[in-house]
Amino acid sequence: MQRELVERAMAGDRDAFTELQRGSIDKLYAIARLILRDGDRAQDATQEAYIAAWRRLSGLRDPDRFEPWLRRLLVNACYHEARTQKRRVIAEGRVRPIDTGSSDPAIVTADRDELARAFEALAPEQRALIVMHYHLGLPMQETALILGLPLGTVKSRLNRTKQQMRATLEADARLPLLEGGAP
Amino acid sequence: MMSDDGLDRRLTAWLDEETAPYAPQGLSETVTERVERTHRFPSWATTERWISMETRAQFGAVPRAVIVLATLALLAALAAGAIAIGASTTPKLPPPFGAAGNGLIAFEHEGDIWVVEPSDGSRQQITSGPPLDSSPSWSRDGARLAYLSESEAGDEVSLIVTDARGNDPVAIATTASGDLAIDPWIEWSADSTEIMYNAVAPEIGSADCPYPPDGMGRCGSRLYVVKVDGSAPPRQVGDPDLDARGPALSPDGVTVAFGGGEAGSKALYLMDWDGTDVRELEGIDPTTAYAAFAQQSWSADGERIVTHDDYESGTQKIWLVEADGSGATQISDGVGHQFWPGYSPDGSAIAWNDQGSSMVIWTPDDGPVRTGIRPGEWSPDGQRLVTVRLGTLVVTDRHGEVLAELGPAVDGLESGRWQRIAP
Repeated sequence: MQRELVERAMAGDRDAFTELQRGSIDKLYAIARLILRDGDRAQDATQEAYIAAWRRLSGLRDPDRFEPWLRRLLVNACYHEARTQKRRVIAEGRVRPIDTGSSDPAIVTADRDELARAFEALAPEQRALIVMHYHLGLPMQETALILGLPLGTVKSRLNRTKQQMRATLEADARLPLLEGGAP
Repeated sequence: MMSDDGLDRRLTAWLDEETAPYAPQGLSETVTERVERTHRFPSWATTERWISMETRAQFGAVPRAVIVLATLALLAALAAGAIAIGASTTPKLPPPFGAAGNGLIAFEHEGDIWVVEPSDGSRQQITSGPPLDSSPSWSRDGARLAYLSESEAGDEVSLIVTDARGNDPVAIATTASGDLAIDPWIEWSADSTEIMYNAVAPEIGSADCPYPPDGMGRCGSRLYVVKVDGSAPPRQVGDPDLDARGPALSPDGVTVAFGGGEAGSKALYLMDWDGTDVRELEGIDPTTAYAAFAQQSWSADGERIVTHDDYESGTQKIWLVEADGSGATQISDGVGHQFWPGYSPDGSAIAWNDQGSSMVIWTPDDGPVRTGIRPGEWSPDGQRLVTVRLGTLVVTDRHGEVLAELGPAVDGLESGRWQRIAP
């Protein structure tokens, strides 16, 4: 079904492309938002990825590879977006609940916040790596191909990125507890 | 102890939670409107279909027959040496090519190299500390282990060689880190005294890359040979003007097959180990895609080469070609994305990566058969494979049936490489 749509879109059928777009835009936007951590920029990157896909689709020789090809275009669009539209990062107060046991839902929230901060401290290229490997569940080889990197680079960058996240999480855990955002 | 702080699982769960379930309202319509106003490139204008007719073949001054004879003499000397070694108390070494016995399995875990004894699962940590160590590779005689090590600052990657137990590490080559570092596809010489690898030529920067700006780090890649004892710096081999990567040495120890090209065109090339007699292997079409011919492998008899073509166009397939370039045949089944083929050491089968997540085993009788397991590495006897399943290192047979689990499931485990030992 998708192959047929891709083939029609490759031949210039805009309706087929629209159908492909509607079937994939939620996932693509979600990936862009994870990488860019900004809804507006994610929308821009998603748009640019689809426009690039439409313009270059006639060159795609294997319709079965449409999806990874589109992801690659999206990642490139995210990098471009990150480079060209640097925006001011608004510092937020750090709130961490008192540790009352691992079953406390607040701890789960704290862990989530810490992970978010560690993730946001990464460069877009690092976030893309994490999203491809851990969110989409792609093996390193496929991640390497989509991100356009040698396998060895993906491996070392992934290790380096996780080390960086661990360091951030560790530093976060040592920060003075802030109650309600107040020192 | 192998560490497992659960970061992988926490990350996966958090990313799932963070994922926006739907694109914002109106985004799809906006894209549709923009597509309506956008003219597309004609197919001939896209790099994916553009096949350069430019080819390049160079012939060195040294007659090939002389090199073959010299190499045969070298191999004879090696064989004599091996016999002498066998007669002494030194452990017998395996042959440099073909089937051999199965020794230790080296693997990487969270930036360190480990070895495991497959018969009992016992492990030994080879490297530790802040540098990120990856991509272990055994020498052909099984006596040494090479791996890549990225410095703590992340600004350099070194090629390190140790003995089989991680003793006496020597950094034999170092490049700047990043996209243009040493690739993990390193190739040992027949006598295990040298390593060939590809890395960016120091004088070529990414800004000069003639290829599409895809962030690859394939630009300006050149082949280097370095002695494993660290007695001399790496020397560049081959055509200095030719992009080159993915070296694979023929079983006679003479010819290196590699992917290369210039001005955006990639093809399969051959040359001698010392970098002379560079010539394009006719018979397989060149392509504009950067990821083509990243890995090739020779049959045990040296008569065939298996390789893969491009990715950028989305048509990466497996090709089997005679060593003289004739009879190129696509042996993948045309479904999806197939890459990184490797002949079994005994030459009876070929394994390759099927869409990044599973493995295909091809034999002349059965053709391509999907195994359902993740891509792995051949055992030296060609009868088994080592791979990772659910975070555990496993040994399988050629059909993907798990024969042994080598330890507990942990985060960040990468599939291993098998040491060759005497049969």
